[in-house]
Amino acid sequence: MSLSFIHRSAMLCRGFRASLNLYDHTTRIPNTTIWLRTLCSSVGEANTRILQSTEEYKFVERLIPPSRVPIPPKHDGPSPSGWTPPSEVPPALPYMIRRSRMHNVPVYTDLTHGSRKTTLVRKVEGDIWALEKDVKEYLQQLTGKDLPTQVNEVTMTLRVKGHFDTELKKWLVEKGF
Amino acid sequence: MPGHRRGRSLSEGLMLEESEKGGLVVSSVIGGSSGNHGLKEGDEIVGATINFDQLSKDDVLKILKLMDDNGFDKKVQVLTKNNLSKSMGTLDSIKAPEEMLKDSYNSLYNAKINRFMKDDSPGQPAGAWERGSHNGQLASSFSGEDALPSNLRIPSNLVDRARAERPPPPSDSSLPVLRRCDAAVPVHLSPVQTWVETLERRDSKQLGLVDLHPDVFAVPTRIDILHEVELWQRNFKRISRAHTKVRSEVRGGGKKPWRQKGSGKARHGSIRSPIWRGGGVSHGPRGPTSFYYMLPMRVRVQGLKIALSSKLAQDYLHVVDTLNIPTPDPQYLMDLIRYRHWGESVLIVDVGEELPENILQATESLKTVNVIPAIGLNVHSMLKHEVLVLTLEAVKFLENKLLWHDERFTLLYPFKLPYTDLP
Repeated sequence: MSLSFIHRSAMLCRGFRASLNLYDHTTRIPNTTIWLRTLCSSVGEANTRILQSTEEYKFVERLIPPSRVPIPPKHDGPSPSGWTPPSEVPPALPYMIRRSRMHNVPVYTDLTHGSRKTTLVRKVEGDIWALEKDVKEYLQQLTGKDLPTQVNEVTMTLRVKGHFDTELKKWLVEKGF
Repeated sequence: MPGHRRGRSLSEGLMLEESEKGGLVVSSVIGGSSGNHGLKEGDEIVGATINFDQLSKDDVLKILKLMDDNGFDKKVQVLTKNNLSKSMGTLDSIKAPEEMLKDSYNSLYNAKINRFMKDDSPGQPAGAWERGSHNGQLASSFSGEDALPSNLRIPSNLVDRARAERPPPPSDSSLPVLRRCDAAVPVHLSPVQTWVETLERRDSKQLGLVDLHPDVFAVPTRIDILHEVELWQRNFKRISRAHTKVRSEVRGGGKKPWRQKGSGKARHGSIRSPIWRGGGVSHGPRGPTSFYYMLPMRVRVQGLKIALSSKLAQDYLHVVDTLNIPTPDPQYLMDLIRYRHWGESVLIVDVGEELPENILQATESLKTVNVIPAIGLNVHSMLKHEVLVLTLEAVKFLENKLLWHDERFTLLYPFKLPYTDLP
């Protein structure tokens, strides 16, 4: 009788626990693990704690890019790729042509209306009309033609008809800009 | 001279006589030299100018009656006071047209403009204009092509002498340079220099000089960029909340008001169509409209640089070491500004999270003097205020931030995320 009673109570308890398990899985902690945990807490605390270390951050830091364009290393004369640095002393001319932010000569070609070729010289400072005269002379020697040019004094740019970017870049580099 | 004498005398010293032809001839000159007007014996008097200023009213009436009897029109010209001032004065003083124009210009100028001049210098419109290079104020319209057109000519007295007495620092000044440029100056340019002042005492002298980077403070002035940036600042925040209801949104008007045919009235489909009174608006403003647009970052930066350069070029930029003032009294600041002839409105710029208490209190009640942190500097405020006052730290901060845009890569990801070397 007592055995069956115990059995029945055990059944009830199991049923009760099962029903609880059915409805509330989240908070129900099985008794066995509690025992296990209380056993482990004194021994393995180092395994479950979060460690912070800043030594590995250098791997992240070296991935972050710089925001400024670096200054190119010193070259005497043209570099192997053909890039020439500007001369140390600016040339003694009434105009000055600065380098672009990537340290290149600011001469660009343009193609509008499908067939209209022009060359643009930007970043001019000083007497732009003297530059226009020199450019016209140089291109006259080069091509034999008197090419139309347009000077924009507000934006300080010079536009020449035709594609002459390589020639003008070489010419400007020779001058020392 | 033959002919009978008629003893009619003009003045004390002249005896007149009528000659055969009917003209009046001086028969003899009696007495002193003063009343003669250079007349000699035998001179025929053709006409006379009589100034009525000295005569009494009865005398004037007598003379005019005499004239009236003999015929007024061709012989006598009546001049009023207005005529006299504009006319050529006496017949003796006929000059060259340029001189006459100059004289009339001078007289007009003296009468109308010179009275309102501030300065005590004599009211001649001659003299060089100290700041400008053009010297064309004196020229009349007959002089050569160097003269400025008449709508651009300014009399030199209009320039505020007190302000013009502060020229830019000479190259051999003895004061120490308190700050050199941090960034590298391009080889073909040299830094611009200005004085450094204090706000501690009202009448203190300059403390030293400061070097300003030419790529921030000596940029060529592009007024079109300034205009663009100013318009952008005004419009990009604008949200116009004007809203009208369309015929479908107006309450009512679903039912056809009367039948299509036979009622004698015009055909209509709804009482809220735009041709009806109380109907919807057909093409009105629709809802909150945004005028947001962004100018490229480099254009906005260039606008700031141009504004700073033009303030420096027009002598409206002052550099100050710190913003510590002795009292929180707004009157102290106004006195200082008046004394130093800075201008009408002042914008004071400083860096840092906390600005000194005194200056904040002083400018709180003042409408024309304002303090802003350096991150709040913008083209509209700079154009709105006449004078810009920067501290040394603000100059350093601005140069750092504005020069970075000249040498940066294009945007890889937003600048809010980390980069190694943001300014």
